[in-house]
Amino acid sequence: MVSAVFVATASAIIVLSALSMWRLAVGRTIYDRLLAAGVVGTKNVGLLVVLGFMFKRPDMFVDLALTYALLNFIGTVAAAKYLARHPEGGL
Amino acid sequence: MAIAGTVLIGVGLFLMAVTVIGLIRLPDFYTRTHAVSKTDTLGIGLVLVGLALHEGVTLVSLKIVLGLLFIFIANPVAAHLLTRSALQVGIMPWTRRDSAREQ
Amino acid sequence: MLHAQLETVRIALRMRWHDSNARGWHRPVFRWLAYIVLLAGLWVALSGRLDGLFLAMGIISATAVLSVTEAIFRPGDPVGFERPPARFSWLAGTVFRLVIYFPLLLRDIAVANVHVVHLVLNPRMPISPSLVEFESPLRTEASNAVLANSITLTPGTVTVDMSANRFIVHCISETMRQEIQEGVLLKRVAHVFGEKVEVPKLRNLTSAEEVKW
Repeated sequence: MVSAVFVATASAIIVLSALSMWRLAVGRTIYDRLLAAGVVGTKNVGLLVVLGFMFKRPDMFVDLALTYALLNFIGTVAAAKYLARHPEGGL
Repeated sequence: MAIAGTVLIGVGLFLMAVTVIGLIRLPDFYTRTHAVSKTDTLGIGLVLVGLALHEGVTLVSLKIVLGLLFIFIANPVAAHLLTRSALQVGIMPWTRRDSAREQ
Repeated sequence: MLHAQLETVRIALRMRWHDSNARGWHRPVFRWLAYIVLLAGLWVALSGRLDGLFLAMGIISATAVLSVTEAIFRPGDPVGFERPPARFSWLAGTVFRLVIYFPLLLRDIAVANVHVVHLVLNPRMPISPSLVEFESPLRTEASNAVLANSITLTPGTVTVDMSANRFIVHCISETMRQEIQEGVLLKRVAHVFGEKVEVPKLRNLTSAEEVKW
């Protein structure tokens, strides 16, 4: 029963990430795309932890999730800083 | 514990779904940021707390809570930086008047 | 390469240990201790071991990381802000009030989420966004940072920019604009940091020219 919860959660997160990809593809501005990429990244932190529970190795996957969260944040910050300085890169 | 965790995961997934719907439906970048900085932060937070409840009190759940704290700080800051950068570039927010003009 | 890094460390050490103006908890020693305890605590939490060797490695690497990053993130006197009071009683009181503040913030976050859910799922999408600016009356850097993040996490408002004391806030609907106008959050943050404030006036920003800084 418990593992069914994890499978359901994982598949829900994957479906939601796929839907966020719509905004990533359509965009309109580069900022919309970055926002959508951030959303996908945050969801995948959850997905990694759930995968850890599914494979019965949460200790390893939680570390991966933490690293992923850090990289996601740093990536967004770097892109935002770059675009503020080089507006022509985003438009 | 497991039942409470499952309920929290469910609520979190619902909030994530709302985030995605908002991301697709809302009219401009700034309003989408609202959906992301609020519902997405709490959504992932509830999912992680739910998973920690499934795990019980161990090192893994402590790490999950650490990650959760990080996301709670990092997500608003990221949204903040993106909007700031967008405003510096000169993208103005959508208003009701704009939509009236378009029609 | 290594030589350059050692040089940075040396300069950082010299500048930080001899900050003669610092009093009370502003003394660099306390900041170093706080950072080392924090980083070493994180190390212990992430490695999951508590034996002497691991603890020593944690403290050594925390100190090493700190000595390199201190030069980059040096907390000087930021333009436009005051230093918080140097008294330990102020620090202890502020930490205590912050701990009380967090449950209140959590409640606000919950309200914010219900609000966004309502806006997004409503087929008519009753939003009416506006961009406003105001001068924050808060005086220290930390209190302004807490206010900015609290505004972002609570109903219908996102802090777009905060430079010196100027806040630019994006409100998603008219009701939310009212809330900023009343300054509920501002008063609460001011209370946490032991400051007295007047609620500032809001100005609407409608064109890119008005945004310029």
